[in-house]
Amino acid sequence: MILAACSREQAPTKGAATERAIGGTPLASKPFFRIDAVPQPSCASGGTCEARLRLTALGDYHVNPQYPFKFEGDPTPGIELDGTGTLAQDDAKTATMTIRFRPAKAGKARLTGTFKLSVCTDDNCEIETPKIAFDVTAS
Amino acid sequence: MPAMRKTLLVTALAIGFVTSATAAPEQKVAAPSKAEVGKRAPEFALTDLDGKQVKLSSFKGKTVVLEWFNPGCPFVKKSHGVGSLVDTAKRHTRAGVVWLAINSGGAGKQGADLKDNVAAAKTWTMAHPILRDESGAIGKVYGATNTPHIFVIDKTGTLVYAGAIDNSPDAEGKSPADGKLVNYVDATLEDLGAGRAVRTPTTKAYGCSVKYAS
Repeated sequence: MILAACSREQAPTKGAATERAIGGTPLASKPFFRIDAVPQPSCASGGTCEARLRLTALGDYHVNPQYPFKFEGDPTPGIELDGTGTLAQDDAKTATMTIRFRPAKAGKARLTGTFKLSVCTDDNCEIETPKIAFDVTAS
Repeated sequence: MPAMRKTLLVTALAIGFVTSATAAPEQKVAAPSKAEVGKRAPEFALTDLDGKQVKLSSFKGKTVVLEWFNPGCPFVKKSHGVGSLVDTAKRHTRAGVVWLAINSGGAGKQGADLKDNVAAAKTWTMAHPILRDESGAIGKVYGATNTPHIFVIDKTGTLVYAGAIDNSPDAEGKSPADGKLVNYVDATLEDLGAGRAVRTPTTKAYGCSVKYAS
């Protein structure tokens, strides 16, 4: 099950209030970004379900609006991934990746894959391809 | 033709091609105008990694591709490593096109160091020159905003394309807009070869910002 991120505050950094609101253990992180799981909406086996991941640009970085963000999922038994995810930018520093999938049966499964992302400052861009893993649950 | 008239004619012809950097001391030449698709490409004289001067006007009569370059930029790394820039320059230079990479990074900025450029040229087997524009003057004249940022100049010296290398802003060629990868240099040179107007003369460049000194 995807867990909500909700614990300690990070050390203050130059940037948005969103950074102060996030905490917990990210699925992936570097000094200029982090990826967190977002609570999963209810999901019925055999139907189309959604998993959500939140990308937060840290420090002086912002989400690169030009970049074609993707979640390239690895094959998972019992899970059929639908596409490579859709990114919606929440604000300059955060965006939510929605991943659609169809679980064949009820229960918990672990999705793994590569999150292809880019964040920039006014002077610099980074492309990152962290490997991430998270659990999804179908009823 | 009288000698004086001949001199005036030569000078007049040269003004369109010559910048203050290459002008003879007695010539009064205005700063190069901004590059604009459909107009004559501004002249420049820059030095390559060996310190040899390269002038755009020395390639008169040839098609020239300018590639704004920064070996430290992740988009340049992707494009040269796995994307459209892996072989585009090699294919077209074999066919007689002149390809010039230009690094407008200011001293101390990402990818501006000489040794980084030498190493990149070796890593990516770049046979064409990498020209250094540390002041950023030529990059700004051309309006280069990104690395990579591509400009194509036809055989008459006219700028006929300005924009991205392709339509896949991941720089890997794996996420093309509309689902089909379009290499804009290939498309532009195909149009020129067919003797028709360039169908897509401008696109929005993607990638890193050019690391100008100021």
